[in-house]
Amino acid sequence: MKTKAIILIVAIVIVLIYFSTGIYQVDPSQVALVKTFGKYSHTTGPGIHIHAPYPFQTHVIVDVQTIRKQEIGFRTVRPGQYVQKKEEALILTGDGNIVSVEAVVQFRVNDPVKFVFNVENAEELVKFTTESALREMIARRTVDEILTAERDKVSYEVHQITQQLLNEYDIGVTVINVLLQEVVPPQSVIAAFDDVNNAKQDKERYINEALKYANNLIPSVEGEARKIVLEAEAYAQQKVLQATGETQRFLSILKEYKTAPKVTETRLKIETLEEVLPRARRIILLDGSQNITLLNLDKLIGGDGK
Amino acid sequence: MKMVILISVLVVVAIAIVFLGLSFFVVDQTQYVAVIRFGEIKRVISEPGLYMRTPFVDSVVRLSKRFYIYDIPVEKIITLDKKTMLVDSYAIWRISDPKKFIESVRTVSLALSRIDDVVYSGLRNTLAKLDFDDIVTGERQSLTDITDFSKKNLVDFGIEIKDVRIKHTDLPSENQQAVFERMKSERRVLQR
Repeated sequence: MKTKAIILIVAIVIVLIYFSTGIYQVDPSQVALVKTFGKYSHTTGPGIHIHAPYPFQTHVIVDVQTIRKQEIGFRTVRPGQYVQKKEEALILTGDGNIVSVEAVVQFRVNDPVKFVFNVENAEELVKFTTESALREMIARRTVDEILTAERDKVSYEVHQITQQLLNEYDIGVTVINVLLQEVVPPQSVIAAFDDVNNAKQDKERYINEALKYANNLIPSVEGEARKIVLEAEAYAQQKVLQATGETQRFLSILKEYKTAPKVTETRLKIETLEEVLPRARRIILLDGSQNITLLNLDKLIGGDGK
Repeated sequence: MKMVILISVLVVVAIAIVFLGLSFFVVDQTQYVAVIRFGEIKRVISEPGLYMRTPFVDSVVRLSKRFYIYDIPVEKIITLDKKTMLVDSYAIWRISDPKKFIESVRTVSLALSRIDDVVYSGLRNTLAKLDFDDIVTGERQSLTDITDFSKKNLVDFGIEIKDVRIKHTDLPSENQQAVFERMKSERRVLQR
């Protein structure tokens, strides 16, 4: 009786375990593809489901929501820590140079049936396709273009080409993004590139400094120039006025001379002599009568000269 | 007495299950199955589902229907202008004719070495006619040539080549060093 019960329980447990192969759980980001005798029959969404036990029905679970990614040129060892893959990262450019490119391709499964049933290793295929597209796009450009302005364009074009190729392969994958990470000259050349950049910076700095100096200098110099011009103008004006005054005086003398020539002449002579000989102490006059007149000016003028 | 009956029933059931298990087999969505009887391919099944076979006589060989990616080892190629180039390529392929495949290469690893040979010679033939720079910058047409060549030469093995692409073109490391030196000198010119 007892053995019978044990056998019964064992049998029930075995049967239960057997039927439990038909119970499966699908997480929110996943779908399950159910196969009946190996042939795909239908897809089920998230939740607990039951299908006929093995070998009648089996299922494959695929994550269709999560964004997957593949890394090119580097690997993430753990979050925040990366290792460069030199042989992947170094790419020949159109002008025969080499750049080091790291990129990430993000993608999602849009058709789980194709993703699971059409290809052995879809993730690797996405990676290889992106790599070859990246190489192709880099090879079309010069090293300077890649390092500077064309970066965005490269990632856009790689995205397009990768998607196009993957559509051709029909593996049910949507490329969401191709992100270029570090795009730099190779390790051993980077110093030279930095030197050029430094030189460029220096040049820029020198220009700026010179401009600053010029900007400081020009206003003060301009002020000075203006001052000189003004002074010259004032001097000219003064000269003109002086000359006009002189002319006026001469003209008035001329008028006097015309009315009384003799007197004026004598006066002028005397005035001239006064001017020319202001310090003469003695004057000797010779006239027609051969008399020598000695004028002692000191006494004439009033005498306390030295 | 009762016990004996029970045991014999169990044994019969067990034998029946084993027998059924050997008589039926499931072909998966992703598989081809070749049924082989005494070394002869009796039939090839490419539709998934439940099938019957003769137990102990027929054996089944399962092959994948899905596309494989084969990362072909890096190959050294001399270009038209006598430069050396390392080409890293890959091929996307699948078994298109399981019968031919089993008859000619039998296993995937053997198939890979066949693909290796064919793609390598395709690469060599095509790229040896081109200058280094042409290969690096625009080899779309040559890729199609290589793919076509590989397709044609592998179809007899029951292998379909979907695409051959170049993942990387590289210089041998000594040349790479020379390029680095040149890049440095170019920068020095710019610096002036």
